Amino acid sequence: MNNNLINVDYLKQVYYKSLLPLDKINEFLAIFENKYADDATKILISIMNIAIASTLLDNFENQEDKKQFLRLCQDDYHNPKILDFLIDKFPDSQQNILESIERSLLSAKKFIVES
Amino acid sequence: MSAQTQQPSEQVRKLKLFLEKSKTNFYRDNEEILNWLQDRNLRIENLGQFDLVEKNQTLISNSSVESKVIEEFNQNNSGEKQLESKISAEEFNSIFEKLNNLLSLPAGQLENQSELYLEQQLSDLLGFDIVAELDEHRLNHSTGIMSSEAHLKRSPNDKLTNHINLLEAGLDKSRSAFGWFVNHGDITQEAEDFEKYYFSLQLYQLQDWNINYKDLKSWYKFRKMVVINPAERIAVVGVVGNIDRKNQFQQQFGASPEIIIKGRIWSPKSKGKVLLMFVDDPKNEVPLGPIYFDKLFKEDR
Repeated sequence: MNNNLINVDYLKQVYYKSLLPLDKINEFLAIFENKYADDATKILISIMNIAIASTLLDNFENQEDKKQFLRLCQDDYHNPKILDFLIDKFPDSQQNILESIERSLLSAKKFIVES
Repeated sequence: MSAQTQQPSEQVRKLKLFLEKSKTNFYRDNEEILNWLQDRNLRIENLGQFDLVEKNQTLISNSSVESKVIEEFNQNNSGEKQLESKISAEEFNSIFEKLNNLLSLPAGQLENQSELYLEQQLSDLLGFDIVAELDEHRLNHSTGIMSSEAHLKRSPNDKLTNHINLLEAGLDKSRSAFGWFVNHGDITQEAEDFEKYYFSLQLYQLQDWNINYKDLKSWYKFRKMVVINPAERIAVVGVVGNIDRKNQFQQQFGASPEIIIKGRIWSPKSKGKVLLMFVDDPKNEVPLGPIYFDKLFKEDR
């Protein structure tokens, strides 16, 4: 039985770390054997990065806002100020991020189980 | 090697495949900023302090895909190089000219010769097969006017604000004629994409609907189709997500707000006139979302 498979070091590298549902991520990583948990975590972060960025970019009304968000991401991706920037633009950003993460976990799990 | 020892790496491989799929969808949906991202060498999936390729020498580094988002698009475009050699600019323009002319005629089905020509040419351009008739199923109209529909409730508790984009389109009070979009109660990425890129068709008007509605409904549910807007040279791949109850004659098709906006279906040049065809995609490899013909053709010229 896998207990805690999360390598927190990887999860610290993202600005949305305070929103991460660690219990659900751990549950997801339990699909994998322990020795693959690190690899799976890295890929999962990439998947979450894409899902979150996709949702957030849909929110922005103009290109300049999109680019400003992406510049912040490129410059300092672990900085929680990115979250402040997003909340300032869209009060529902935290909820959007959380939902994106949860959908990613569900979709990835479904893909692995059913494909 | 036993099946047991193969299983974990197989799961990681599948997770990587899922990442690939996500990347393809992301860059397709955000094509307008693709060049800007390329200029800055910005890879969304690699944001953060670690790089999947450089630092991981095990499973992940064996695959080039993790670090090669932009390259992936170049790979996708390798098909476009073939396209360039197969179709001249003149032919390319003539396909859309012909289609524009056909769409100026009353809505309906194309005559056989035009249908075959467009099926072949557009399939070549798109890189996947599109057909007016699939498994002996054919709509009453291949050409017509496409109207914008509201967002659809994906689950009983779905709210308009959950749809994030194009909220001005509103939320349909009824659920889709095909039921909820959820999978075991969860709104998965696939369910979200289905609602995002859905078509609404007048299936009640099919000749054999009354006697065969159960089979027809089952066959059409989430069936992959593509709308072609020749005036703007954009295609959008979506799924049949609802049945149009209005049976109206002025507009033959309906589509999600995202399809209408991303396909520029109601631009001054388009005025809603479209061609709608089935995507022959038995392996479910064609992603949903917009495709820009000009970009397909010009990228490698």
